[in-house]
Amino acid sequence: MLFNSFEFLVFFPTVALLYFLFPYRFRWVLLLIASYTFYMFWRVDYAIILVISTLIDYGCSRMMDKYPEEERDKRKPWLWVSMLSNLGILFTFKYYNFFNTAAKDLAEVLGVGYAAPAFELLLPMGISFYTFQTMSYTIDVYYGRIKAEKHLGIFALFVIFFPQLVAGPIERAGNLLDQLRKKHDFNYQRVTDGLKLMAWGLFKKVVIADRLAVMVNQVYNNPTDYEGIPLIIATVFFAFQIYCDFSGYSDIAIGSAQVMGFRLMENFRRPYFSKSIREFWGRWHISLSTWFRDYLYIPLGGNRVLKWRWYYNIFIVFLVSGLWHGANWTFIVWGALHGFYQVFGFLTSKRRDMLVRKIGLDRHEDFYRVVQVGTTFALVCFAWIYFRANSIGDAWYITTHIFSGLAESAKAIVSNVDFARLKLLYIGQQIEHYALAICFILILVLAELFQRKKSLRSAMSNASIIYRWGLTYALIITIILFGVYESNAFIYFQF
Amino acid sequence: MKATHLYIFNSNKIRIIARVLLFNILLIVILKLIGYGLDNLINAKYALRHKAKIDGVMDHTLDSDIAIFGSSVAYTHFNPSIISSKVNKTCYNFGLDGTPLNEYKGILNEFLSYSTAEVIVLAGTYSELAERTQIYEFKKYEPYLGNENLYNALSDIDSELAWKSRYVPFYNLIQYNKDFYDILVETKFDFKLLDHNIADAKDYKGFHPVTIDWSNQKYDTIKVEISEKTIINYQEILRKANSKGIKVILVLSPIYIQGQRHIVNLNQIKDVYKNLAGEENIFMDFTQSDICNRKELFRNNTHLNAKGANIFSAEFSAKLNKADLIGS
Repeated sequence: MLFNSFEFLVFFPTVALLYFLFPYRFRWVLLLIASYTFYMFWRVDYAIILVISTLIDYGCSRMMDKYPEEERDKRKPWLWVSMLSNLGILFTFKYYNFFNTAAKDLAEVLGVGYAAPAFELLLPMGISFYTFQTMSYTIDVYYGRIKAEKHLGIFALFVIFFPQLVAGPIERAGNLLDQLRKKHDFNYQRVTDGLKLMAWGLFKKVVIADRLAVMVNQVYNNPTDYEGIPLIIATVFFAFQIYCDFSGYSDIAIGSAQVMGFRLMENFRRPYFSKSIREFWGRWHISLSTWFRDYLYIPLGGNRVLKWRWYYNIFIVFLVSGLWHGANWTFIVWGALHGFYQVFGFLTSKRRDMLVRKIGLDRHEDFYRVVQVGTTFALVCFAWIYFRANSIGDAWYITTHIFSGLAESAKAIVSNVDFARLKLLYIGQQIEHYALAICFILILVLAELFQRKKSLRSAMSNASIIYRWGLTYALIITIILFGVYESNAFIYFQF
Repeated sequence: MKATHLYIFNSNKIRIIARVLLFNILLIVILKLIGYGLDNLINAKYALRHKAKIDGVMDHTLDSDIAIFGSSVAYTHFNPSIISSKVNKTCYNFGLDGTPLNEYKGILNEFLSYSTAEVIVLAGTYSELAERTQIYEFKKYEPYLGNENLYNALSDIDSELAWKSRYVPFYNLIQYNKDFYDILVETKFDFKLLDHNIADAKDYKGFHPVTIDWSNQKYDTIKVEISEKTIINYQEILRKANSKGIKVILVLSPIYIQGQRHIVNLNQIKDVYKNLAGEENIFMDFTQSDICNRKELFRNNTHLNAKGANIFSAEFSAKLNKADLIGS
């Protein structure tokens, strides 16, 4: 079920209402049924994968819990069973064909016979998210950070809790499991805050992301038809599209959980205002970044190792992060680029600081910040090319043609040639559609700028009822009238 | 018991309930007002070009001896004035732009429920027999979704959209897509378009001549996937019309000769039309007409300009007279 669907519009209020009407001790049953229903709206048969994953992790964690923390050796086999099962399922559905093709290509190059069959398997929605969530749980039980959950129903609900099931935030058991047991009373302020956050998320998704998608798809599905300005515009638009799509989903997830009294972790913190790539990763998809930090980067040794090894750790983490996003070389290159940015950033940080001092940039704090934010945004956009392109070939074409013919295109646009403007600037769209997209992006940027100092929701709560209701009505009406409703699934569902 | 009662209805809760109610009532009022305003703009700018004829069918006030149905190739090719003058019968063009039989089936069924027409023309181009998966300009049907014939026909194409538009409050508001806003801005709220649409409906009897010159045409090889569902729809309509004593003429409208060469299964399409027409009805193939060799009569590969439409209407009338279908 999509958050931006009519089905969810009926489903969510019904579940939320029943949740508060149900006696406390049966609420987990309601949420479990609702969550499986939510998932099975997509595919009924694939719910079995969730059931299997739940039972294996429940069993393994209970077995691990039988041994005291000091006897980790006895816990280890169960950790392996859990890890291999989870990663096995993930590998089979998500990565098998990718590695199979890569092996076949390699065998061809080496002139060796290779005949492993390819499988036509549909990728289960949200598999990377719930697999990582359950893996973090078993690892935490193994290390004794948390006790294994004894209640199978509550544990099953932890795995499949519908607001964050298919695209996160990837919750930790330490945060969510306890909340699933607690009694949440109806709280008017909390409910309205949650609904406002859901509306804001929906605005980002259907009004901005899906509107931009039309233009981005036009260019990225036929990149060789373009060079220069349209490639730049489509790439910048994609940066906003993916941000609004994914953070919009997170907002709806966090908001819907909040309505029922659950507090999910923050997943985005105005990432495009980051002054460095390192800061960007502290603000973008926070639940995944912290997952990789805790379960991959630190176990690899983090920064408490030799310098070369530290850089290696960083690079590996980003490479894996790329692969997590999809079984395609484009995602791997995207991850590698971010890994390279980070390592390069550390390697050059002293020299860059010296340069900044030398040219006196540090004396103009605001301007310096703008330069830093702009540079970071440009680097992130460059990496998005590889994330969005349909193939490495397309991405390479865009990389090599993004700055081609800029002068000619600019001249054609300025000289008011309608055709040139339409193709180069508006990417085949009517100017009104294009202007609307820009206008909504500006609203988003302004809202985020405002939130640097104060939460928009708390500012709204303190405002008079006229402003409060006026803004809420404006948001609802904008979503209804200017939303793009063509069953566009959230981009991150595919991961 | 008394304490619980007081707890449930304490003043804070009453205030919250009142606030929620007020918020929602106000929202409904605002959405109603917006819907009303936009619907009026829609009537004026967007859907009215077909509103008069759909209204006429739905309230059973529009009828003629020769009724022409079809998509743009009916709407912009058949000039009822010329046809009427040549065959001495009343004629009306019920053509709807972008709308093949699968979509206008509901309107046609409604028409058949009351009409006393002698002949119905179903005009199409090569793509007419393909499957239809989306409803074109859905807004134009919204006022009539209560009509079972129309609703069932649209449900066959997109049941979800039809159902939601009929039953879900305010669902129609999300149908104002970017095309609508584009048109509003493009026409700069110029209500002359309204006059033009009224003229189409009244003076031209539903016909809409287009005076655009030939535009550069790209030719791609086309193979039409002929849909079984479309054929069944045609058979149903033919059966229904024939059972009421109405003859049906299936028309394959002119296609520019160079374009014809790129349709790999054009002969197969013609065979399907021939089979559909059978003995009782008539298939008129205008892809063999001399019109198809004259580029100056076309505005694109499959559409005639106003001059071409007049020549075509005269040729159609001559064929109609020759077929001797019309009673004196």
